[in-house]
Amino acid sequence: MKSSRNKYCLLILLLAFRFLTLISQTETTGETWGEIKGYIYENETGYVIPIASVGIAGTTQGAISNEYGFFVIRKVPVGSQILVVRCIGYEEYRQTVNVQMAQLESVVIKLTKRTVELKEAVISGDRRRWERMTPVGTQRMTAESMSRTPTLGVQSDLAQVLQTLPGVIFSGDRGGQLYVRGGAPIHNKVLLDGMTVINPFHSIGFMSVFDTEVLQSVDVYSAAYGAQYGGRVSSIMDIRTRPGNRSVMRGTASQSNIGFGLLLEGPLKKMTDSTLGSISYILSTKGSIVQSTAPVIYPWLDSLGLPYRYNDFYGKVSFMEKNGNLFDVFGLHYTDAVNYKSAIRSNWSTTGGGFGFVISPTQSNTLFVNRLAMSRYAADFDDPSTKPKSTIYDNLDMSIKGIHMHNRFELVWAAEFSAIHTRYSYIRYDGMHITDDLYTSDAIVLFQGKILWPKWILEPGIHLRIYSAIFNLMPEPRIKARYNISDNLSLNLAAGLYSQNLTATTAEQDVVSVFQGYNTGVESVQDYFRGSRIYKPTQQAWHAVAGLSWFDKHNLKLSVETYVKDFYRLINNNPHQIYTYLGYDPNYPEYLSSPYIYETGWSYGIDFLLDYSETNWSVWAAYSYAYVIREDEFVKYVPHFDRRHNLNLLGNYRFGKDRGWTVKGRFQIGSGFPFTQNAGFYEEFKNEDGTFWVDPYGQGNLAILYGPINGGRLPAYHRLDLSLSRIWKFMAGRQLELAVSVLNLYNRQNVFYFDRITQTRVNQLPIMPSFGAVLKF
Amino acid sequence: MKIRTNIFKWLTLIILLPACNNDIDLFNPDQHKTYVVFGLLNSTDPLQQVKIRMTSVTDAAIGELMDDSTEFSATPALQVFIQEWQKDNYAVFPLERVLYPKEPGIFFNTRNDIYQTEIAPSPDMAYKLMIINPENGDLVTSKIFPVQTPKLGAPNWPWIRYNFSNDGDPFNIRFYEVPRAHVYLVQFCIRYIEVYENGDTLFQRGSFVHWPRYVDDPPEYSPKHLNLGNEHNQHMPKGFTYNVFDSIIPDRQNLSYRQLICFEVAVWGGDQNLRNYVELGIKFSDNRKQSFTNIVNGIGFFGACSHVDCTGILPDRDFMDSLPLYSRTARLKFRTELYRPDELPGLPSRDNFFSLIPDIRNEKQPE
Repeated sequence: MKSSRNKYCLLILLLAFRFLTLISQTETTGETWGEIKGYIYENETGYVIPIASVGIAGTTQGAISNEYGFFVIRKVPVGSQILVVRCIGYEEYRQTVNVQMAQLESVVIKLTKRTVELKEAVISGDRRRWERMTPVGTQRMTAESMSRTPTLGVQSDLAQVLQTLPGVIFSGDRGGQLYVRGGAPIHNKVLLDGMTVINPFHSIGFMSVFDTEVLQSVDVYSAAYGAQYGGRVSSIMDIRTRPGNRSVMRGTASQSNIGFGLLLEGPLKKMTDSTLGSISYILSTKGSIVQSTAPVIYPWLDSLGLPYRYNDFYGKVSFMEKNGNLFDVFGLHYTDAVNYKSAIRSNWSTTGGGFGFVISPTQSNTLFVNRLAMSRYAADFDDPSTKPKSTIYDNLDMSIKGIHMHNRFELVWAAEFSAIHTRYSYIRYDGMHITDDLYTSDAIVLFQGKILWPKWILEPGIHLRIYSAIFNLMPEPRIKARYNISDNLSLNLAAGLYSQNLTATTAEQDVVSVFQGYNTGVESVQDYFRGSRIYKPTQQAWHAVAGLSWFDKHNLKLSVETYVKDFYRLINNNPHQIYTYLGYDPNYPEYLSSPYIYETGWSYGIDFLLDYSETNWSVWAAYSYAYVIREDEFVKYVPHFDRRHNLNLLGNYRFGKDRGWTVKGRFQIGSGFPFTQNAGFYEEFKNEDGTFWVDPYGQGNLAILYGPINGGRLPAYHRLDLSLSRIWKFMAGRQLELAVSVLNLYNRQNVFYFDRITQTRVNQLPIMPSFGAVLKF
Repeated sequence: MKIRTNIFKWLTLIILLPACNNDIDLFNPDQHKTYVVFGLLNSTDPLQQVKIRMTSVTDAAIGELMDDSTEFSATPALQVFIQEWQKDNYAVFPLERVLYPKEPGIFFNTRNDIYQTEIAPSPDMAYKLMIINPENGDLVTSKIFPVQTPKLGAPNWPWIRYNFSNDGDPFNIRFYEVPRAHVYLVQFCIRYIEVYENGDTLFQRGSFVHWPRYVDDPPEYSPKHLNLGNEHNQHMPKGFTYNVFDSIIPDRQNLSYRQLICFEVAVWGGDQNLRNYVELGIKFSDNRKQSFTNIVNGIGFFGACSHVDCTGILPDRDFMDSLPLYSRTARLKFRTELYRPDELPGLPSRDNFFSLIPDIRNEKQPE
């Protein structure tokens, strides 16, 4: 069985290479044709321009620039041709190109911004992108779309925006985690310019580590993602940062009662009209002051307060070669601390960096995107009720990606290598200090095709992942398909197989988790699951999504998606362990002795989304109905993040002179999370001297008898956030923004946790006004 | 007009939302009172005792519940007995309800309901605990096999001096595995007197239990002879023994001095039920919602245990001389001489000696 699978994979590989060779030969050996390739950049800043239309005047030949601003036009007639570049929001651009027989001409195009509303341009670009993709299980966010969400402080934050996406559940304002369409946080992968970021959110739940001003785009793949991604069984968040401004120095300074931020960017070597060659930098820092201001500004906060501290630094230097090729180097350092006096203390930091190339060699119509990045995540946790523990997650990601663009066909291939080291240290129950050091490496080869027909888009792909630690080759087929029912309406389908070998040390039953340890390639897991021998302990899942998507020319976007994820093999902490694990022993049920056990699970649901924008206002409504279950050898339960109904409404209205005033609102309502109810209290007996005898005089301990796992439901969650801001624009792009916002306007007492013994209830954040200013210079 | 209507609707919704039910149903609606049983069948001592209590399912503050002396009590009408099974036949031993005075603490009831009887368990029999509530017909049961008594290899001679000072050959407690015992506890006790400045003298006993030793594969039970399994050794170097002194003997006000009487060693064996209970209690004392039970129609456990002990262990002279000098034991004010009751010339026999020293387990009598 295994052998036939490997043969099947090899066959696919050979066919794919042969296909690629054939295409290249066909396109490049024509006798009366030549080709044009190039990059498209914005004149003012040097940013790449995706989704620009490039055509040859007088012919039907043309192409659309991709996310790197790169395009290739095939079969261009030999001779002097006029290249016409159009992109909404930019002036039309024309350039004469002398095309020679069987030769490849390179151009670099700089488009100048037209004096139109930026918002219209972005939305129209969004529609162009929608036309060329299979819009299923995917949401793209840009800095512009992220600014539609009111937030605490003055600047929008990714953590707040993600919560409004359909299918995304957030478990709380304090130490909350993100759950995407039935996947736990460990099943979600976050990539920042190709580097894995293991913990993208600060302990205070409404802040991410990312500065939204630095972000170019955020793609959230909530299910059935394509072959370009892997290593997680639920979802992917691909975050791309932008380079610094290549023409002028710019900056953004912000200050609120929550935190501060400073961003500086500019050219080290200027991009001029005559040449593209340039060097630019972007530096960003943000930090918290809420731990100091909260006692003064929010005296009504409970005793927990807001003892959160964070500091984030990000820097990037981008080199642009005169032919438009790019090279960038980046580094980051994120820190976070929580200090609940006499209770929980937690510290973590992420340090990382890397570099990347975007190159199309001379006389090659292939775009190569190469990346190498390393990061270290280190966390310590101390809780008097448990014992200190710490974790380290080291990651090296390396990839070489090739993109072949044809008029109606695109092929992406990549070879990737990923090395992971995890360390989890803790004090065992017998007082011994245990350190689990694990090393794994994965080698990945992937092919992702995209075929565009007038009515169809088909995106087949295969992701071959080799888990070297367990000698396991996982061929993961993926497919996406789109059928255009009309110009504005498409039927979309996607499916795929996914795997991962990273596990978290926290059980999914834990509601509040400011600490999560990591283990890669755990071995102390059941050998048998439901009677079947499992040789390769990887976690695996199948996804399938089907949906209808409407996007009309008036920027009305509607979508309905139904999905199913079959987590047919997950690895989780074993809550049933009562025996010491000594390897497989037929005398002891493994599910009572293995530190980790297998689980299966299902999640399915349906998501609705309405997104509409006009010049002055926009509205976003996302509703999700979801069902999540998990099952191990022992018990079937709904995990604590199984929120059945979730509705998010966003509204945004601009008014006043020059539309300088903006009011934003967000209302969220979600049905209650499950929790384990009490079935009673009792006196648990104890022996003071610790030996085996019934002490007839002794006092017992108070103990709780629990009901079925997550058999109860907490009350519904709902909250209204509002913000009002005023922008004053000055000369040369400078502007000042003042903002006030109120989170939880009507002070809904959403439950955070409940002490079963004292019956003390601790709620999520109460009404929290905030204020701040942003200066762009 | 339409906009105003919409705004009005939204405002009404927002005003009404906080009025939504926001209470937490902490208790499972299917809850019912459950029997909480804790009992041990000791192969070494004939007195077998079982504690029986009830869960509280009242949705009230826990402080109020614990103040209520009857909230966790079982009905006195319970009929409790142990069936001694041999193949298909059994004998019945009724357990008598005895009220023991309860130490003060978080539960305010002043008596512990203890059901007890005298049985000398036989390893050839199975023993089934039966609890019947005649008021409603509830039947709570649990069935176990006795554990054979651990074999103590060393120390095995009382009232001689053992070497505690030589770390090259430290004091050692050696025992052997026996059938059905899956967990062993090694207990080390210090008996001493405390003499206060006003002349009062108190006999004291401090106990230190070494970390449990778990056995996955004990020797097979044979009715013909005692099968012994692997040998276990628990070494106690001098520094470790000093640390035991330091950790279990508390500071006292107005203490004049202390004098050591002797040490005691006991090895306890427990069955698989006890092992499960001990392991769970130790491992998952923090966040887990896991507790072991082998009680049918109740919670708690009924386990089998046995123990062997050696008393009257006397340390060597060097150890006694260094006890007041060692940094962590100097504060304990131990004298360098062993305590010898004047009434006992020479080395007393064990029985005579302990007849003069009150045992903490016998200090209190049931009412």
